Amino acid sequence: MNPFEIVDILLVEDNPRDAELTMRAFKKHNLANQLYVAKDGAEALDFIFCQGKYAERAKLRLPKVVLLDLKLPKIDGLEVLHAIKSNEQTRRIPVVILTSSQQDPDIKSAYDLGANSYVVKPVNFEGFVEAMSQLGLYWILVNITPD
Amino acid sequence: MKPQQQPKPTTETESFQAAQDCVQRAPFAIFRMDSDARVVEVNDQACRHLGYAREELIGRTVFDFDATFTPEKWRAHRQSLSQEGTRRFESLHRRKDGTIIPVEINVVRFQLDGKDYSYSFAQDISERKQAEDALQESEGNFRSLVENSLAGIFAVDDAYHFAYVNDELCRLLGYPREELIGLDFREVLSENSRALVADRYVRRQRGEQLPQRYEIEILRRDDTVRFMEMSVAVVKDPAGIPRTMGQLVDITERKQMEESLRAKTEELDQFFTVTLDLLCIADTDGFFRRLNPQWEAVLGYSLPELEGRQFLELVHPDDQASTLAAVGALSAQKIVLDFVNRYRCKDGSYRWIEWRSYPAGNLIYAAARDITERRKAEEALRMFRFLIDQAPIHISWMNKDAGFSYANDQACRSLGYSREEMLRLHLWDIDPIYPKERWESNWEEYQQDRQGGGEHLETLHRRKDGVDFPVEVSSKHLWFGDNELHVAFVRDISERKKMEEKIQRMNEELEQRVIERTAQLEAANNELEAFAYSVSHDLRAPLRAIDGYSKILIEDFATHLDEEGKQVCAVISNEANRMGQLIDDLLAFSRVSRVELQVVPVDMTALVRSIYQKLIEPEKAERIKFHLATLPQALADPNLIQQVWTNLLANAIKFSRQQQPALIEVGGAQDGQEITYWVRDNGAGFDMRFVGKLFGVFQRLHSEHEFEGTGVGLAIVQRVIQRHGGRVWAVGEVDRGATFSFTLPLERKNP
Repeated sequence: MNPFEIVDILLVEDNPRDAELTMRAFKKHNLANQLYVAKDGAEALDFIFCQGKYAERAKLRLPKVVLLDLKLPKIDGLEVLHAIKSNEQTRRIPVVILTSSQQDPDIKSAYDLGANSYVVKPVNFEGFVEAMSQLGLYWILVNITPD
Repeated sequence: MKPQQQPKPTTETESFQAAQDCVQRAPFAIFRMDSDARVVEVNDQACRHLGYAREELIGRTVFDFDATFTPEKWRAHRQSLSQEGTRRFESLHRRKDGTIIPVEINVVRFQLDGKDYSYSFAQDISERKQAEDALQESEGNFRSLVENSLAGIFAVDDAYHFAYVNDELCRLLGYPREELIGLDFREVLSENSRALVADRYVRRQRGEQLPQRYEIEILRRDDTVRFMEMSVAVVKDPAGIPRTMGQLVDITERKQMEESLRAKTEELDQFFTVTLDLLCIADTDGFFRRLNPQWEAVLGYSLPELEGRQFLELVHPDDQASTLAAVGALSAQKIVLDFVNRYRCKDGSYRWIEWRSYPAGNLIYAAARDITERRKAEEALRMFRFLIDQAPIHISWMNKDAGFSYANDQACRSLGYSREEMLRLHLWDIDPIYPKERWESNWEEYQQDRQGGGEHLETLHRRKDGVDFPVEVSSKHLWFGDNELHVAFVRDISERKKMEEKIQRMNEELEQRVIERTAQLEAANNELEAFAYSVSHDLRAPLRAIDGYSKILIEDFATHLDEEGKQVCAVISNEANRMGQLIDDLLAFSRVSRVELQVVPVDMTALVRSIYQKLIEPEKAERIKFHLATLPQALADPNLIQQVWTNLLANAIKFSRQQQPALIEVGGAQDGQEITYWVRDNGAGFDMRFVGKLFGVFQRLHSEHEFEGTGVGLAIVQRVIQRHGGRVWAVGEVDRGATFSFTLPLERKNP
């Protein structure tokens, strides 16, 4: 199975532990097979815009939701967000910001750039699983994007 | 002693011869006449008396030389002589030369040889007759004098009846003479004078010496009353009867004049007494004679203390020489005007007195004035003039045309003009930018407003050498009676301007530095924020992994772990969570210090109620008795103050959870310039010995085992309240509860 073809959730997360925990959380709700993890901003953009090593992904459907960590190596989250939201093809993809703190000053900037929501990643594992599950269910199963 | 000579005895002839001799030598004329009136014998004196020789006289008859005798008269004479023996009479003898001589004749009859003879002794009485005539004439003159006297003259008899009156008296009394004579004198006296005259009369009779003249009131026939002066004298008439003679002079006019003079004098006296000027009569010997009462007010001495005193005693020692010189001039009958000296008052102080003195013999008439106040005013004026002249700022005044009518030293100095030059200048000569129209409209405005307007402005003044300098002008419009002036006070503000520029430059620099510093601070703040964020972000990620993986261990490898292994995993997870909480609290604490205060009025009662309701779980609500009083409204940052209440209420709930029931009470009261709020519980309380640690970060008085917590809550409370300008404190006792109080100022203070 082409791992790119069924991607509904793009998780942009540089921390592999967080990525694994997130995947575990989605797995519990049987959403893990629709999740793809980009390890930095550049990869995320290549994936979304089907370029670089994701060039053959072209003409496949866009992810239903992007979970975007703001603190990323190379290209940071806000740049990724800006790229998504300023492209006619991709600007309707819901982008949910993942952050470690409610008091993250970048949250406001993210909303200004068109972020659709944000989630604080709690330290507590149960809380984390709960938050991620809610998120995935909401954006994938409940929220109908205009296609 | 010489022995008395015995007279020698004489014969009859001898004695006849002696008698003959005696007759011949007698000093009067002796004629022997016979009965036919013929001269028989004469003596020498008789010859001389009639101017005849003896032979011519012998044989003549009496009719030849006596002008009064006629034969009939001779016969009557003879008859009378024969009866009486002697006769005496006056007659007129005609001398040989025809002159007539008055004579007094004494005749003696005697008989010789049976014939009747008579001896006539004739004495020339020409001189006596002349004297008698003179007397008579003089009497006539006196009578005429009396009759025509300008005084009324009268005589009264014992019964007071007029016995004599002259024409003037008739006129004075208004009676015809016929009515006056015999009229009772008292009829013409007024009631008062009648008593007076009677009294005088009685006393004079008693022999008292009384003035000869006195004034009485005369009641004239026409009932008018006149004042007259009467003088009386008691004289004896030829018959020796005392008679009262009197004289009356009408003094009514004189009285009136006297009265008006007296009134005039009184008026002058009054004037002397009441005038505000100091009047004085002194003498050139240096004594006060008379002073008016005004002196008492000025010198403080009573008039009796001053009058008769030597005035030099009271003159200031420095003025005594000049005073003596002035008195000298007055002695020389020179008028001394505007002389000024100082007099010592009773209290020892001196008053300045200005004199105008007029000499009159050895008297000095002086009008004086106390000019002490004027002197003081003049001195004050001199001083003010000096001050204005010397003032270190430009002072000048201008007339309606903006021409200078005065300029002080500094005005001249600052502008480089002499005073004479200044007084020829106008405002626009020294102020190149002052518009003439403004002066004119201002002047009109000042004229309307008699309170005296003025202006305050900064302008430029131009020196004589053309250099301009900045000045500050304060001006004031002044009214002096009907005159108006505009006074200007001008300060050279060159230095001030320089200073102002310097200050402005410094301010700008300072502002720039503030901006720079603020930017630096902002940058630092942002850095700190970013740092705090990354700390929290980066610290939380590993914690999340620790917690997550320990959970994975329990979930996925449960079969490989015994109970103790599972317990260890739970502890790892727990501690990771606690550390996450610590990071969150620390982050919150650091934010409380950094965020900008947004102070608005806050309804504390509503805020506390809503926070409590959020904090309390419904199942615990019944256990807690929560009492919330109505709290005063506060000025505070709502987000931060919310955190304060949240922390305090959460603590109260937490530390009282073992109480049954738990009591939580929230109150507030305004006290002066601040409001005090408090939260009281009956929970675990604390030991007051450790109260100092209560508000420190990470300081805890209870073990995690008893009461969970990070030890940051109260530190946040303290930080928030301090940032609001308030104070926070706590009172507690172990197991008896605690009260946390904080204050907020009523007015927002600058942070």
